[in-house]
Amino acid sequence: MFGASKDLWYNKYGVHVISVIIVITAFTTAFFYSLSHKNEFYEIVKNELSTYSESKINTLNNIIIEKKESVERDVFNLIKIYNLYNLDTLYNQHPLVKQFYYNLYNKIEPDRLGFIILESLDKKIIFTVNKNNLPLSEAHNIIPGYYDDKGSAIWKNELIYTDYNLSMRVPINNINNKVIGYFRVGLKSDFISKELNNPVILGDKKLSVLIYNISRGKFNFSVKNDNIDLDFFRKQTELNSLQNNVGKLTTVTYKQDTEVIIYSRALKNSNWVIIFSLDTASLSEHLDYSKYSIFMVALIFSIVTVLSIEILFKRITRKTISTISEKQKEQVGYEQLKEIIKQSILEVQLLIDKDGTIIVHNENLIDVYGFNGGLINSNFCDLFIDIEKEKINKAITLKTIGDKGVLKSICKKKNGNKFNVSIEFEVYSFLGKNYYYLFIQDITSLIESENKIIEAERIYFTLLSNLPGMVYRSKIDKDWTMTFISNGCKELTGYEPDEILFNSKVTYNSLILDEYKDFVWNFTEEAIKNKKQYSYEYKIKTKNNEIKWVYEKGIAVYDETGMPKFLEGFISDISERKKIETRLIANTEKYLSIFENSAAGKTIMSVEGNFMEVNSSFCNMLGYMKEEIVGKNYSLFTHPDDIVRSKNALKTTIDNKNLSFHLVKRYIHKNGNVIYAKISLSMLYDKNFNPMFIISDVLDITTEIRIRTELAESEERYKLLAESAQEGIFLLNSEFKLEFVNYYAAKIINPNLEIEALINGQNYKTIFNIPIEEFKKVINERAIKNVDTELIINGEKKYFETKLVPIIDEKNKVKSILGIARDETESRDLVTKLNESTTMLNTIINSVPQRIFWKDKNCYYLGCNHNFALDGGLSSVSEIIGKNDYELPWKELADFYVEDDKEVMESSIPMLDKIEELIKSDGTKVWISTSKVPLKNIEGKTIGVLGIFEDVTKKKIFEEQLQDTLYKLETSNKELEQFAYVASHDLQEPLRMVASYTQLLEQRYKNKLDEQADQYIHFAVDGAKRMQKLIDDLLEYSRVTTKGKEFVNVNLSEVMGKVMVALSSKIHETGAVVVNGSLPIVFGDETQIIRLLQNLIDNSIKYSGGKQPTIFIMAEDLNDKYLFKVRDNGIGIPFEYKDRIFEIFERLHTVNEYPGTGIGLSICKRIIDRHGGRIWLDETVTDGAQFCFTLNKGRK
Amino acid sequence: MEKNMKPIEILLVEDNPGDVKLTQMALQSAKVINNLHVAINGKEALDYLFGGKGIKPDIVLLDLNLPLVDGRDVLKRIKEDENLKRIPVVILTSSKAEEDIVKSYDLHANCYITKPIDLDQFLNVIKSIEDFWLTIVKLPM
Repeated sequence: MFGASKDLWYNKYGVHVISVIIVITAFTTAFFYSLSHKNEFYEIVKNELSTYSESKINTLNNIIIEKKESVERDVFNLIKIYNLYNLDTLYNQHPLVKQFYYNLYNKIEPDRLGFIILESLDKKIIFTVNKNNLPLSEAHNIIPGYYDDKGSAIWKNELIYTDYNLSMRVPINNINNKVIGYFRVGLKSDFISKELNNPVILGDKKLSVLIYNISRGKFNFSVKNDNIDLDFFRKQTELNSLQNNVGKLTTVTYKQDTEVIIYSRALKNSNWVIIFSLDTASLSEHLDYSKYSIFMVALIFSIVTVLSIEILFKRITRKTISTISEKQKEQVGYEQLKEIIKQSILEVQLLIDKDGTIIVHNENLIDVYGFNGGLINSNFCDLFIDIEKEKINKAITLKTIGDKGVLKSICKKKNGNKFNVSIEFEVYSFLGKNYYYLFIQDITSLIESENKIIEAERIYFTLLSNLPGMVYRSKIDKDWTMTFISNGCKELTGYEPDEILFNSKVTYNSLILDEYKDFVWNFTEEAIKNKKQYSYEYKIKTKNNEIKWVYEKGIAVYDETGMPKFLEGFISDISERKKIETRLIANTEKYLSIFENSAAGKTIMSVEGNFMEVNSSFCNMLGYMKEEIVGKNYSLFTHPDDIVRSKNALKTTIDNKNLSFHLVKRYIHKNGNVIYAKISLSMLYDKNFNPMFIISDVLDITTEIRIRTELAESEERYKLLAESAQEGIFLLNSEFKLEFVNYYAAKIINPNLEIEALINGQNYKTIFNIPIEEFKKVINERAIKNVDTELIINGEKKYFETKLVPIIDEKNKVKSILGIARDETESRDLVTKLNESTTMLNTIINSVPQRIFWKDKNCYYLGCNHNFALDGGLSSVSEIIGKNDYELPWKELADFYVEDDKEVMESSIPMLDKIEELIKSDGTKVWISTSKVPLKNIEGKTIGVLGIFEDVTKKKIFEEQLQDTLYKLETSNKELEQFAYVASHDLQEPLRMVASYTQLLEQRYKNKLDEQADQYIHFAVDGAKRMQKLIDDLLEYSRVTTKGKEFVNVNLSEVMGKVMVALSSKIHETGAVVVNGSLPIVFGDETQIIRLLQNLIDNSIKYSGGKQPTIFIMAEDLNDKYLFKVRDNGIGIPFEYKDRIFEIFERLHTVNEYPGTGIGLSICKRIIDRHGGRIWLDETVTDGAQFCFTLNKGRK
Repeated sequence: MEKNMKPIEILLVEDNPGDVKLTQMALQSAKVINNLHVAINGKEALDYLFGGKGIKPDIVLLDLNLPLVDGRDVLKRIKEDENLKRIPVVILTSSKAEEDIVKSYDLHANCYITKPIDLDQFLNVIKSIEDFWLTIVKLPM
């Protein structure tokens, strides 16, 4: 009402305190409610879990019981069928028992059964049957097993997993139904997983299920959520708390306060405990949700309450303020009024009597007026300035009861300051006396503002009338309806303000040129929206059809709701300015454009030579960025040798006040290259002719310079070349006269003349034996020609190839012919030789029976020989080029070939003699032996592969046949040997009979029969004896190979010792002397070597011919083997028999002359053959016999 | 030279009647009084030895290649039997094969003799056997 400046503390803040209290209460309530809600919820969950778990466990137990009963039945039945009522029989090897177990396995759910253990009455393991052991092996029934303290079955130190599967003990009854033992049967537990598939409670809460084996401390099976930590559970269960809590619902906390509710129970007939658990994390969502919703409700409730309280309270206070004064008026007693005035805090309030004496006043009086103490009993007029005193006094004290009113006046403070006030007064009457209530308000600032406004308005008006343009206020519409226009309108638009105001004659919008209308509207709208000022330039058409540029600036004025009410702004004529501007802008732009876009470099330098502006071309020329050049001195970029020159030129120009000068100098490019530049500089002088700037054009002439230099150089080179060439070079003009000829050509054309004489000398009919017709052809056809000619130089025939080139002048006529003649003799020879050798090579390649081919790096054929082409089904060798193996008849095998190719090329190792298959073009498969080598160029880089192969099918077949034959031969040999052995062996027996009984006959009936009979008997006996000897020898002969031992290192010196022992009696009898040199170590069969030497020495003793046998044995080193010689002084052997003596049973003497069967030497030969050596009779020895034989050296 | 009054019981196991005769002849003129019992095959030998009806011999002359039950089996049985294993068994065979010799000694034959072809030699051998085993060597009771 009156704009209170002070408020009671509790009025202001009391409301807020109450609100806070309410909010706190609300949240607390909500919190506790949610808590209880949470507990309630948990209870529900736990109940659900128990119920669910119990039902599952019951089901599982039932299944287990059922299974046990079924197994018991099966066992009972089978025992009955097989009649195995004796425990012993149950681990017998009898096939029936095996059958029993086999059937037992199949009965008790085949594939489910883990194991069967047979236990004695005292529950000791007798043996086990595992499915893998069927049919039973014999070892089982000997060693018993045992149960360890954890209840696991141990048998043969192996753990039989009784605990892993569900195991049950089934009694075995005998015929009298007495239990004689037990079967412990282990079943796999997959039936459990079936039951516990996807455990879920309360619709969507997933459970984890674990089955835990107490005795083994392991988990068998689980369905688990990702949150469940098995390790945690292991710890928990090992503490046995789980066992203690079996059948109860427990809550455990793990992993940073995640709670898990567990229900566990033991399963029947097992060491298992089944655990159902629910992770409360999944519940928390549910709880969180309700928690949040409760809090939301609490929040909303509290906000609503607070708001309503605030609003309510404000209403109350307002009412209170207004009613007070009425109350004051209504029921007030004088005292009460005084009291009220005293206590009031609004402005200055006082009560005076009719004399103007202040009876009572409020505190503010002191503050406002600056008095120290109270003003009771002083006159109220003292509050006012002197002039006013009278007026006020009269105005107020003369009023009568019920009067009230408002005055304005000026008060003064104690310190003399004046201030404007407004006084509200009311007249009261108490006890017949009049009292005047005064309410004094300081309105100083108000008055000030009012004055300011008046002043502003005045200024505003002045401005308005004097502005070169018009001020306006307009509505916000498309017409720009003007509601106020200042006087400047006439000058600006040609119209009187009245004509445009409220669109009476024309709308302002119609003055705006069409092309600007939309722009102005949009821009203004945008500014209005963003609450900003708008300013723009546009053209208008005046009343006189003059086109003007105008500049407008304005702003929207908004009402209390923020809606734009109208626009206020200012429009001025800017035509002149615009004209100048345009020109200026155009010029500047033009200038900038020229400067920047010029292809030549342009720079503006200060007088000292610092770059102030440079264009892009200049920057590119030097290779620097603009930033790197601007501000720097030109000398930094100049070639060191040119700096002085540049400086001097500049100085000269300035000193002489020249306007421009030119200079060629070098810059250094950023990359170090030298840039040649042609510079033209213009000096810019100010009005006092002081140099201000230097503007320069810079042209890059590096290329030009370079070309010129290069040209000069190449001309030099060219001349040099022409002179030193081994070719004849000549230039013939159109009259066929020589314009130029080099030394080489000159000597050939005419060795007798000097070059100078040749030039422009006679015209030649032929040059280098080229007929003139050819030259004419060149001119006519204007084409290059190559001509081959023969010349005789110094008696030798030489071949020349000449290239004739027509030189065409600017008029497009052939002005001369350039000829270059080359001596091709050598090359021709070479070519011929090359052709010859190539032909030779081709012939060779195509003649050999092998197939030859070569491929490039990518295994594409580069060439081949004739035979290869045939194999590949091609008609000529050229067809192979570019093909690969996949396109040839052997494409099935192409992968292998290509692999080999790559291997050879990459490793550079040749592949030699690889046997592989090939499919020929007619489809036949053959065996080939292939060799591949990498092909390398001169630098040694691999560029391809060369391959050669030949058909080895026949060879392979032969080989295979050979192997076959060899094998058969070996087998047959073996059989023969066996046969020979057995035959000889079995022949002994009857032979003995014959020999013995004929001897008996001889003994018994000697001299009892006639002489003839004696002789007959003698022959019979003798025959038998000899036969026996023969068989013995045969046996021995065959035994050389059949009973041959493995070869080892044999010390011949030791062997000789043994031989001497074996022959000791014979040696002693005959007085034989046996001498040997040092004997080496050989590689062979010791027994046989002893035999060999024994036979030889024995022969030597036998065939000594009456002399004292002297035998020499010598050894010689033949590098790869040893040569031995056994020489005697006996009767010797004629050379014609040198081969016969080694044949089996061949003798050179009768038995009467010398005993023996003739097998000795054949045995020697066989032994030597077996040792891989040779034995022969030495022909050089005539006085006695010398046998030579070779043996392999002993191995390291 | 001890003259044992009680005759030596000799069991000859030999399938060849010819050889049997020869052996008999040789032993007839022996220094020691002996009774020769003959079994002509392995089975007879075993029956004789284990059948309960035969006299326990003091020495056995055993051929190797016998019909029905092989000489090696007879040897084995003799040497395995508690009662008979001490009896010296002389293998008398025409085989001089290494493996036969080895096998016989493996089976605990007391000695191995190859029958000579020559009659005189054969008779000498028998005599030697008699000399050695029956006069020089001490036999268990």
